[in-house]
Amino acid sequence: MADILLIRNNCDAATFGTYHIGEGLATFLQGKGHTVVELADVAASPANVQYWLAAPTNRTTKLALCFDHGSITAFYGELNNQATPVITTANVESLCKGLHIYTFACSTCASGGVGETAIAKGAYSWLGYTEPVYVFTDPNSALFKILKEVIWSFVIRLADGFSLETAEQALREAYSAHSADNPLFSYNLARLLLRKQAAGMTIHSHNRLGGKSLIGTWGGMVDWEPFDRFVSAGTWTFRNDGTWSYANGGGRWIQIDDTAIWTFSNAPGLVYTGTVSTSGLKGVMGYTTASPSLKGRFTATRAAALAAPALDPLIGPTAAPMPHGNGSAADGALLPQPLTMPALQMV
Amino acid sequence: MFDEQLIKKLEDWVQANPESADTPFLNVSTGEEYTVRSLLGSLQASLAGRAVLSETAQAELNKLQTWVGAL
Repeated sequence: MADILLIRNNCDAATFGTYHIGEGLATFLQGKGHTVVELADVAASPANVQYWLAAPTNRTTKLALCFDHGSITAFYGELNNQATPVITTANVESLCKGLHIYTFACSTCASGGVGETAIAKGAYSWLGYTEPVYVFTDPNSALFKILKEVIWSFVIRLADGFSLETAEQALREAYSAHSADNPLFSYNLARLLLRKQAAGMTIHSHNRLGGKSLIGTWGGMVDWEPFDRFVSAGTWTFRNDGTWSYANGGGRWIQIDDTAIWTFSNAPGLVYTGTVSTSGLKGVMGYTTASPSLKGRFTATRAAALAAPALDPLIGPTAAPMPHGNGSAADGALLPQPLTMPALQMV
Repeated sequence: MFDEQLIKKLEDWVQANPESADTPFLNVSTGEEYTVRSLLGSLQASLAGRAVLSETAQAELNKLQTWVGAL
């Protein structure tokens, strides 16, 4: 099984360039905790691509990165040192359903082409180009290295759990930033197209595993006792290496099936546990210590980026009852967290 | 249509960006390789009546014209 499949053949001058765009990418993604299988050069054969992508075995579970030749009707690998179709409009349902696909290749996102067919047949997303693309041919040139960074910008955002929209924006901005450096950047940018099933997806929320992975970035809302005061808790980012972080700290997490649990290195005794679904994350939290004995509940949705709150609602209430003249709490009144509150003393 | 104004714009860009102007880039579909300087040379030769632009060179120059016009 692999989270990510990387295909990059190398059988002519064009694929020499696309091949080197992917050089080092597998190791880089593995360093982020992903399992990656690479079909490079002669290994990018139709049989190998079929083996790693086809349903129902689904050996690739989240993302396929494809740096090769393309056409309106096919993405190419190689066989006997010749560019050979490996993903076509005929087999795209079996090979790509339930996956996200990124092709740095010609024309796969053209109208009526293999990318559009993939979405119609159940692929979650297909980012490609509507016409022929351009590539620098000298891997040692400064411009080649820039193009490589541009192409990787999309992959890195996806691997880090950001939404497709955030990844696409990063890619477009990277291309745009270099549009005056060489015509290639604006040529490719003008032909870039992301096709997708829905908005807000990540490779962790929508995949062949059912999308129940905690990995990625979430926008959280927390509601500490006495309840009914959900407040934004900023973004929480869970990584493949078992760590997680937010604006003021972080800790470690584990997940079995759809149940996840995480702790804080900066708030001993505080535990969050919740259920992960394709629509979001929901659960309860509290201190397992005698004091403070705070508990609460939370919800979260997949998020690209939210403004971090100034305080730390993750480790204790940020809302305190505002006394009226008669001593009752004012509905919706939020007060800054007093320095004497137990939650802050724990930090 | 290509004209002297396009040549002037490209000459200015090539002068300001000599390294990029000589960095080859390749149309992955056709397999043909270009540099901005080589395309400029083809255009100069064509406008001077010394050469005829091929269909693919015209297509590439159309793209180059759009790009340099947007700078």
